[in-house]
Amino acid sequence: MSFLRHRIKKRIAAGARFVRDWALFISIVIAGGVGSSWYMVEAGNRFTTTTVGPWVTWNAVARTDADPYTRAHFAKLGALALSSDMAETYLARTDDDGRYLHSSCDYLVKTTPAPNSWWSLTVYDKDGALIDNTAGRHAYTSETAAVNADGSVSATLARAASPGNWLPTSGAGRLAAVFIKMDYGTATGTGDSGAKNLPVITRGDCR
Amino acid sequence: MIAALGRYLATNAPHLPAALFAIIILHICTTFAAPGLTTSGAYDRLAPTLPLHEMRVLPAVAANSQPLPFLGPDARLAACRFDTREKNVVITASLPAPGWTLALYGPDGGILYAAAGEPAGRLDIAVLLVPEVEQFGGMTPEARGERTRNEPLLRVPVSRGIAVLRAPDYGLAYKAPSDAELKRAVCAPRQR
Repeated sequence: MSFLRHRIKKRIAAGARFVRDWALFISIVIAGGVGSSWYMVEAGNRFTTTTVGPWVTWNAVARTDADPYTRAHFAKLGALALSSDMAETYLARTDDDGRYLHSSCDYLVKTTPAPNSWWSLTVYDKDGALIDNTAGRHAYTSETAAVNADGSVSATLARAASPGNWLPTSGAGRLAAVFIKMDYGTATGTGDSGAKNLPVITRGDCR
Repeated sequence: MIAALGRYLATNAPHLPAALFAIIILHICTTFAAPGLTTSGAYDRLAPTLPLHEMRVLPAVAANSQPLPFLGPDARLAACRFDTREKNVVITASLPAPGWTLALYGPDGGILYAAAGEPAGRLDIAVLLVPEVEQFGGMTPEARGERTRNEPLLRVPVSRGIAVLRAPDYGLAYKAPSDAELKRAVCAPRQR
């Protein structure tokens, strides 16, 4: 009788080991497969994105030959992106020192735009929603921003009203800035300026 | 936990290639399936608000009227939802200046076609959208006894999508002409 009980216990233990091993195997596969895919879709890599300071752009955004990671990223984002054949769209979630943009701080965004180009700077909350403000101001473009005497353009991201090009951030929490530029120097609409003329984001006072 | 995992990996080393292979397969499947599984994509959000085969100028984007994330007020948009399963669709638009773009997006957010305004001058675009099957197996207009149409034939790999005409914000002085240009764009069905 005890021999039979011993055999049954051994079989149950073997079955439990079998189930545990398979569960662990499947967990590792799911975590590795889905996790690595999620990371590549969310953050990209050096083959799919270009990072310049705090600015990140997806190289093949909205192109017919876009890679699967880029397609999945923008499908998940739910945005109608401009094709990288026509415009360069950069997203920044941090300042130039790598600290997250936050509405509790003021930021100076400064750039010297290329001649013969159209650009826009828009500030959103972290989910891409425009920030409600009484001024109804969310973006500046090359046509609407006040230009400094030296040809550069400065914009302030701040809660409180600021002279010059002010983009209100109200109490949005974490922020995302989008810089779009179209250079007309080439037939495709995008020049070869690459990283040139991207704004520098400097943090000011925080409350 | 980590020690247990280490022991497990050590005793199951022969299974590691199988695990790696399964991870790669799952990675590829997940990545390719992601656009189709997204329920909050741009098409899903925008399509219900657009009539079929009608180019409509969207309201100016503001905090309380922002149809899509990361869609800013730096441009005015006109959009048309098209479906070529029943009828072909003709889209005509003018891109009067650099910065203007016409883009066709599929239901998964992927782009089907894009054109941009040129510094050289106005670019008039007329495209005929047909389902892929017709382009390969259908009769040409000449074979059906119809006049040849001069629009360039654009191959659309999916039957549904959204056409978006985008006018960049050139300031207040250009708002009225930009709006007028957007309103002139046409998106209309055409009998086969």
